[in-house]
Amino acid sequence: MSYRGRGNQHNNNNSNYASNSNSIGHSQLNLVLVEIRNWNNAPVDNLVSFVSRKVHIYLINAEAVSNNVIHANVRSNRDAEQLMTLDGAKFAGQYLKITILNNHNNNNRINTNNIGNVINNTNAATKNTIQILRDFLKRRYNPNEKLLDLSNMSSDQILVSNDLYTTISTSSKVFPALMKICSEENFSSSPSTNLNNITNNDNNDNNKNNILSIDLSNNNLDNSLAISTLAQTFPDLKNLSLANNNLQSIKSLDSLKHKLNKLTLLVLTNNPIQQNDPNSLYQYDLLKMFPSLLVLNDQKIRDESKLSQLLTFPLLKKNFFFENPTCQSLSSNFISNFLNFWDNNRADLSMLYTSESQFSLSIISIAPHKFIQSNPTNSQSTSLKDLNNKPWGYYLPISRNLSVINSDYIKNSRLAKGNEQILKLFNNLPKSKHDLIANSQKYSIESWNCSNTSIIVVLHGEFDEIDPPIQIAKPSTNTSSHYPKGHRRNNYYNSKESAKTSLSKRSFDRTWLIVPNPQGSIIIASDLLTIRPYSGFDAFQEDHSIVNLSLNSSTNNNTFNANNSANIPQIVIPPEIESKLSPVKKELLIRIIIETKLNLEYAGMLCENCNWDYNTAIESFKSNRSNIPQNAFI
Amino acid sequence: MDYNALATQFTGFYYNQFDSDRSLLGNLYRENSMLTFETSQNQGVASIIEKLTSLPFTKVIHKVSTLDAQPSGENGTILIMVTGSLLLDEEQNPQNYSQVFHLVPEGGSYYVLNDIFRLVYGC
Repeated sequence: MSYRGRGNQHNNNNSNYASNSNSIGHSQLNLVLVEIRNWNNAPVDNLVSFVSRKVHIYLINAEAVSNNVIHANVRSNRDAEQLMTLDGAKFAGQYLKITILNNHNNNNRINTNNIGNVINNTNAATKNTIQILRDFLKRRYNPNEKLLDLSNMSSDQILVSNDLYTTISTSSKVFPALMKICSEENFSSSPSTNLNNITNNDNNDNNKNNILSIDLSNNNLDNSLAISTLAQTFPDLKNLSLANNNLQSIKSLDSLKHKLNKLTLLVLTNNPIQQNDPNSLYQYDLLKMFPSLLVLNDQKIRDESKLSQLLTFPLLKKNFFFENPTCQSLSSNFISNFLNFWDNNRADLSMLYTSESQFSLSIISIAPHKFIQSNPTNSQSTSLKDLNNKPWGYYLPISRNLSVINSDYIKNSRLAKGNEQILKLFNNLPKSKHDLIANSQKYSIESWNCSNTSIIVVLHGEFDEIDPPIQIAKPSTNTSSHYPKGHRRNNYYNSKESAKTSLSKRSFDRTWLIVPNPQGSIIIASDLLTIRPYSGFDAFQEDHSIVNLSLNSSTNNNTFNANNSANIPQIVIPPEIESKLSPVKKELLIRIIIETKLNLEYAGMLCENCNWDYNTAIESFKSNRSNIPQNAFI
Repeated sequence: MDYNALATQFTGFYYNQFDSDRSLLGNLYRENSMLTFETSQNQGVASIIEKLTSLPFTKVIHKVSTLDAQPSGENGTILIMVTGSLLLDEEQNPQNYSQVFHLVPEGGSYYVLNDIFRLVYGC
């Protein structure tokens, strides 16, 4: 029996579920499950108050599990016996039929209201419920198409005969329970694998690949709220059918908004949404809600090639870019030293600034949707939601975001000039930790000579706040109107304790104008820092598909992180060819080589034949692929 | 003119012009100007405009989230740092970018000496 020995593990896994239950406070009681029939579909609340009035017993978790059956708990066997005195009592024109389903002295509840909790119990009846749902999933899973068919669930005889199901909307806990089981089951695309094989936490990752499509058509759904757990269990879902439901408007899908970011196909045929919006304006909202959506019903509503083109500019992505080797060694040394001091001994940095130097900070506290959603399959994203809900109280009183501040006084007072003011402002910022050296892929550096004497260095990346600031900046009086909408004054902290809990991970952009002097030291003339909600480092990820044509070692010497520079793939075009190419053509050629894997000669021919037009070249490559000789490829 | 007002005015003008017709941005650059778009490097007005107009989108809307500026050095140059979002073509989900402008005074006005653009995350 696959349940053996899993009790503890499930207790842990289900803690989320338990905390969602409104009955957690009763878990210490010896609850007894009762079933009440013949209540004639009166409001459940009426029945609860009827019982309370007649026998002074409160029905806990009373829920209609089917048209004619209510399951509920009472506090003890004594209450249950007391309740039995109402067996045969007249209610709403019929005679109630009451049965005690379970009088064990533990807190089992077989009520569908609590299926989520029940999963961790070892009671036979509970096992039965789970097994029924599990068998149902097994019947409905198509490994060849990686499809989970949850259509028309009310027609499933076994679910219905077990009083587990009427409609998704009324049996509000059944769908979450199914999703819960899904996330624990190992769906395998190989039919020989037993669905009941519980393995480990990797299941969710397996399921991500083994269930790409879910059919929820014909379920009389009027709102996605009932199926919102879908997005938590299958955040990477590709195809979803909600056809033949009762979805009225785009608002009915709100609970899935920005949660299925990989969804490419959505079917909404035969929902009132179409009649209610004859001009199909809801399509635009869908594009916003599901950023990867390409096909609605059978219509292409977004051009995939265009999408991927927009999402990945046709440029060679590189973490690091330096105008020349001098610039590179100067700026990379500068940054690694600067961050080291910034994290460990910030006060010492003041010697790099002069009385004319300036520092200012601006913040934007609104995180992009992608980085607010929680995603239980990825531990990093799970915490993202928390990270980006952290308040910005330390920064708001010193933020100099000119796009939201109108007062000239505030604009001027928040620009720190000279070592003393700069150090004071530094002390208003939380103590931080950057992991540039260990994780250089999370950072991006660019540097340029901007005159004979100075260099602009731009760094993008992330840091962890590890301690509250030495000195917490107080909001100046009468400045609340200058904060962006949504900020409240209560973001300020009175005690170190509460301050600590607000620490988070943030993303930042920082620009320095540095002036090296002949002695080998540098002076920071300008220092601008922008701090944003944490948004990851995808944008800096290098294109690893690139194959080295030849190595140009001179620009690859990264002085502070030799490992990383070895990973920077480069396509180098021989100088005699490069000299004939404009920068745009050169870039196109490199891109074509990356995407087609054609060698330099053939890629060049392709570009030439296609008038150096990217789209034409890619199209031409695709349509002629079978005719291209093997030696044309890298 | 106050550098704060100038920075606000400049970015307002720049993004408006970029969004309506970016081929007309040429008079903001000079032959010694440098555009760094992601990591491609273009110097001079013609090369910069060629780069900007060859970007693979026709419709674009910039929205500024943060703007900060500092006067830098004795020769009156201004350093501007912007973060914001970009809506491209029919796409409904913004890209987010960071951009640094280094403005240099010339006559009564300013030109862009360095323009460093970086996407910081996709949608």
